Amino acid sequence: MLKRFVSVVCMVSLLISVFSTLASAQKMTLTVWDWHSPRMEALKPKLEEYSKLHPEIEFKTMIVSGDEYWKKLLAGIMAGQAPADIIQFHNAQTTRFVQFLTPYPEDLFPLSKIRKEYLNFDAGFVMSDGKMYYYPLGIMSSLIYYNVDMWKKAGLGATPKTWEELRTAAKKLTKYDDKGKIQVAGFAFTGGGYLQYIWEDFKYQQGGWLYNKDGTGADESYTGTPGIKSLTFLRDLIFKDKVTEPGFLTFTEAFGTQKAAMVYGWTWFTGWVNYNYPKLKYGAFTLPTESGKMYPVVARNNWEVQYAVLKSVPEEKKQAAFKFLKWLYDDNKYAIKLNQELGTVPGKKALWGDPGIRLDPVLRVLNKEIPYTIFPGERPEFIDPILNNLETRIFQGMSVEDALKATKAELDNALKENPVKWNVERKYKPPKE
Amino acid sequence: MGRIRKYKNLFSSRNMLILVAIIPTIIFYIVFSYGAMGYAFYLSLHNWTLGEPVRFIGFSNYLKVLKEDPLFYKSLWNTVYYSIVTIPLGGILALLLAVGINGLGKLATLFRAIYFAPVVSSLVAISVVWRWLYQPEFGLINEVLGIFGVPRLMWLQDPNLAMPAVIIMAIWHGVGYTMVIFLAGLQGIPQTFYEAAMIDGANRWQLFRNITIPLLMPTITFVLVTGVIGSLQVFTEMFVLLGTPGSGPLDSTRTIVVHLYQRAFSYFQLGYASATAFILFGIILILTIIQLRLLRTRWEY
Repeated sequence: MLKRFVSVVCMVSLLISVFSTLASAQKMTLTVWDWHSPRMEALKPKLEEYSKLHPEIEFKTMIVSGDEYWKKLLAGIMAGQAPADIIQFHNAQTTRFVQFLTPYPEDLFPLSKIRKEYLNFDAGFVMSDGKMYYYPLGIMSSLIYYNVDMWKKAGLGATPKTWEELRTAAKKLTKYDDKGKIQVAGFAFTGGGYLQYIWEDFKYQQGGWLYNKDGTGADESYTGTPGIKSLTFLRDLIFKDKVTEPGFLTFTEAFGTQKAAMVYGWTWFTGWVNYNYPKLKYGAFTLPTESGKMYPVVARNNWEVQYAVLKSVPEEKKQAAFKFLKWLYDDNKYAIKLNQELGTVPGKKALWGDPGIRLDPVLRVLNKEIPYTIFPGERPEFIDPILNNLETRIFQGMSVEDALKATKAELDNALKENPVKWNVERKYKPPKE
Repeated sequence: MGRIRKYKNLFSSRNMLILVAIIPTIIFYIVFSYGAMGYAFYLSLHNWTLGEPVRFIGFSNYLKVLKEDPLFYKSLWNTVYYSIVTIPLGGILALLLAVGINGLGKLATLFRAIYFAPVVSSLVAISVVWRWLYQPEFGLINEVLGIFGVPRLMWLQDPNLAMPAVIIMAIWHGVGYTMVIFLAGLQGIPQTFYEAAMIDGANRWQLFRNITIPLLMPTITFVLVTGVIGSLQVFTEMFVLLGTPGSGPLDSTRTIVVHLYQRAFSYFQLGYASATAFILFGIILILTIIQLRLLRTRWEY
């Protein structure tokens, strides 16, 4: 009897293990890589939902730190592997990586349809071969954030529209101690490489560009009137108007700790403030222009791009990955939530009217600015440290002209050796005045 | 007959056991050190930007580094500047601390632990603290200097101060390690030499000058040689204190390793970065040989 019982138990266990092995063999695991935890956290519920709908698909997520992300990815690709099946992409890496990506399949993602739905789609996403390699999510640009309580206390009304109004407001908001040391900066825009960003925006407003036409050097406007005028205005804010000073806290900490009344920030800053200083009351307004009009251009923008699939991923997994991405991107609620999380305006124009975007205190401002912003194309990571030298040179007391000349020469050298092949800033067409 | 016995000894079970024990280490060194070095040398002879085809170009990368790259010379000068200041200053400070602690008796262990604590602390964590110490507006260092009327200094933003700021942090971080080495050297000097000299009427300075220093020469040589090798490869201090890529304001903290790191991992120019690494290897090799020749002790006590 016992013998029979044992043999039945053994048989059942064997069958269970065989069936479970078969079941797991039929399951497919898709690995997703990202470097930004909040974005991955926003994705996780969708992954679970999809796995429930499609039990044969399971997901493995991995956060790889920003510094290591591209190195690990490239090392894996060079070794003939696919370190991940679905990768979060950044358009600064387009030239290097596009050759290793699979184009989005036309049957699932018809470009003619996406073109109609998304703002400036061709400049941002269609490569020279007419294909799309990563998906558009939203667009980010710069705004001025201000502390609402300080604003009211200073008796200020409407937000500035011109450079001069910005100067006046900044002066009113600045507070000094008895020795003349700044206690609250009226307008903090230095540190963390941000002087260069606002200078670039102002230069665009003045008709300048980032690159020369073929991307092999810096644009002549660096040392021309647009560059000089923009940097002179910013230098004067620091040294003549004293609304901030060299070595002041970086804009993030300064704003959060209420040591700055206004700061210049790209709109990822919204999420940062909300997370770190949830009680802070703040508002945002579009970057002022010299004339007070947004036409023809206010600032630079950049696309928040999403997932790509590597070429080296096995064919079966590729199909599963694109099927999942199709399902994901058809969900407008996910797009709205993620855009809110990341501080971007949805690339899909139809979503602009959604209350989640329309009523968001920052996104509703950004919405108005975005049509007047320029997407330059690829902006390789070596550009920022070079342009950051502008701030150092100005702080060192160098003249505006010399600072621009020296910085342009450095950028010329770097771009000569590493030209920007994907350079679309001159394709920008402003909306009607 | 003798030769056969010699070979028999060579293959004795004891030696075979030793061989088996060290095989993993040998394999590790062959694959991950010498293999990697060999591959890096191969790369240095090729034009290879990651993601693009590999092309043999002979010694062109070396010539390009030496003839056409002004940033290489800037980084070389910064490396020399860092080494010239850090090694003597750190060494003298460590020696003084070691001599001081050596005479403390029971308290020596406590002070040794205090000075050694930064060595075992994470450099990344340390750098976060130092970044706040160096903060121009609200940093502790400027606050203290302000009491003495020193104007506010922009330690990490000013090209003239960024390297001194790194050097101060590096000395603070590394002095404990050198101090422990000196302490070991000091404890190896027989007391009888000091006693004999004191009977002859030698004062403290004479004891230090004529007994401690000469008998510490092997230790000083070790500290100097390893210090030069380490400081010529300095990277982490810049990288963590000044942020990626560590080149600092106007490239004032761009050292050779920072430069080659940027070439390798920002521009992905692996051939060029490998050539730079081998040039650095050559510099270190030459300097080490010179040092060992100059500092070789010609006496034995």
